[in-house]
Amino acid sequence: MSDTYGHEPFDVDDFAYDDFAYDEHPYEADAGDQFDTVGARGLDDGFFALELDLLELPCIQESAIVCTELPEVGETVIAVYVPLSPELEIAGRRAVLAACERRLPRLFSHAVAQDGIPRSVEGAVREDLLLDRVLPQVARDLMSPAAMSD
Amino acid sequence: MIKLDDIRRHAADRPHRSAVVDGEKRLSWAQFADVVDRVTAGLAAQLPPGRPARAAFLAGTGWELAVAMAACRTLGVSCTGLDPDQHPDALTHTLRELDPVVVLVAEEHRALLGSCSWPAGEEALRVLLDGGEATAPGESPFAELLAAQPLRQPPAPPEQESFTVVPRGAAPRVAVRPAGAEERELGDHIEEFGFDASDVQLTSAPLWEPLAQSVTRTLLAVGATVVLDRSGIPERLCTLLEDEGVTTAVIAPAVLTRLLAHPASAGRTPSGRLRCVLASGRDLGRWVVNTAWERLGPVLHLAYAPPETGLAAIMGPDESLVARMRSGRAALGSTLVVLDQEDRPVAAGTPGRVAVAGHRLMERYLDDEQPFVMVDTGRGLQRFFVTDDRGVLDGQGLLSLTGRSGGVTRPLRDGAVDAALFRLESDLLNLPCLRDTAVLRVDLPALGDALVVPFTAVAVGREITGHRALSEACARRVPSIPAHVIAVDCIPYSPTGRIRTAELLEAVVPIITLKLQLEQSEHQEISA
Repeated sequence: MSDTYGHEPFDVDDFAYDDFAYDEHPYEADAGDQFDTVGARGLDDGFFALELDLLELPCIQESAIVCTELPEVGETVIAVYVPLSPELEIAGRRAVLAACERRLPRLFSHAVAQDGIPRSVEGAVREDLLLDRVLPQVARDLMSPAAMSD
Repeated sequence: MIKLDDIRRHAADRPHRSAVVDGEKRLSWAQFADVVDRVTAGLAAQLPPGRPARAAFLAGTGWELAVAMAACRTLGVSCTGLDPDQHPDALTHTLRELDPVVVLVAEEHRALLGSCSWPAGEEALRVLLDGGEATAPGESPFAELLAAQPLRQPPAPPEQESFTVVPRGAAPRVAVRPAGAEERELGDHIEEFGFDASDVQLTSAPLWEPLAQSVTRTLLAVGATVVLDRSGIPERLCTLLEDEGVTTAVIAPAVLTRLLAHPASAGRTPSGRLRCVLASGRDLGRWVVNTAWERLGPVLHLAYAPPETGLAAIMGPDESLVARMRSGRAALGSTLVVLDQEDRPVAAGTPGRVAVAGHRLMERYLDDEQPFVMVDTGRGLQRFFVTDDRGVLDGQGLLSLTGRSGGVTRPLRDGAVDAALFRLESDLLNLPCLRDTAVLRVDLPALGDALVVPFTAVAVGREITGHRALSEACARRVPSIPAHVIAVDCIPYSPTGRIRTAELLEAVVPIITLKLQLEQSEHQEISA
């Protein structure tokens, strides 16, 4: 969980101003740099920055993140990814967890590999269906040593 | 879709060239003109009394739908696509707003349509596609319309406004586009992508999806061949790309990902004929962009097209290799601007709310709300639609989406069921009569929302006790979801200990389905 989350409303419009003054930074105009400022500002900006980071990962086929309340765990970010191959599943998991750690360092994140991600025709993740599919695996992971290493 | 006049013009120019291809069905332009002519006549004869204002369709794609949409266009009836995968409440909400007097419905969605009610629903004409047979008054099979005598003189109806459904959870909205918007859009697409009559277009997305529909319409309008794919199966798509000599395509993002992940596309070398693949870019990742370049060539165009604005931004194949994902430049005819909270344009590089202007913009929502702001970007005041997206526009006009105005959404969950599923996993770990087990929650046509629980018994001959113990554990913990317990030889795992669900389900679902069918027939025999 970030420093400010739950204490003050976050305004995406101002996320680039405070820590990254325009005049002092010649690269401010580059949109890519703006994402680097958002990690510790709030759930919303961290979540969207994580979404973008995962989209940029070439070591996984596709990904989706869902924020939900897990029984006995509380608020959790579930990062679901489709590995490129069975051999690259562990590498993909490490990359996804590294991105979660970077963008949402104070929120419990759990990475789950899946064979596919249910999406609408437009490509949007069908979050409810996805959670239905992954929750038994998440429950199993939380009782196994693999999850403890997260 | 396009009018009969335009179809006849193309039929005169190239009568034997394919116009619409759908599986084994291949319509030349001459045949397409003939069937549209007949269906227009059949539809005109069966329309409910009074001037029909609106039609809707609940179907994916197919030649019958393309013909019926062209007939509606010829008669001046707007034809709005509805997403069959949306919740029935959302579908009912949309139907009540649109109040269509004609609904084109595919056989597989008839039951869904039957569960919805709307003011004109009782008298509305239901045109049954895909060989559906009429069983109730007000239903008309497509074949019946096709049997009508051709029109001598096609009608010349006034231009009508068109509608696009904007998904918004349980209460979708309907965007109204002014008459003539489709023609302007057509011109923009031709100029942007260079479509012409020599093109062969593959549409592998349902026609209710606005981008797929508008591009397909454009290609038909220029006299190209349109190949409709219903399956989304990678092997079939690879075959179509090769055999039909496809030059342009609109592919749903999930289908594109599957295509690129499939071995059938790995052995494919870019043929040079394919020059443009359009897909919504919001949810596609780096791997798709890189792999598309490798397997299809420099063809992938990533579109940003909110339903209210039409195609607003596009990212070409070359720049997408170096730009961040979810980036794009304004499409022809669109203006992009990023606004602050007071609706003032912000400086380049400053994040804010993304707004779009242009002649493809909707006129209003159907409930008459006009959510526009007037902004002066240096070329006088323009009407902008403020999207739900946040983004950054750099000094060179590259837009990058960074988030959504509404913040993070959390899917609504039944906390009790989720907690019960967690406890069930814990219970199963402690069952001594099992060697291994897996709980899979599925939502399949054959089983509905159900738990599939494969297990490996602790020893040969102990399957019955394992089955009994698991069934009781499931019934105790999650009584609201039916559980199908089945013994298997082993449960396949990935290197991280993940259960290979697809592999496992592929093995057990046919057996469970067969068992259910046997049980059903036994019950029927007993009751008979």
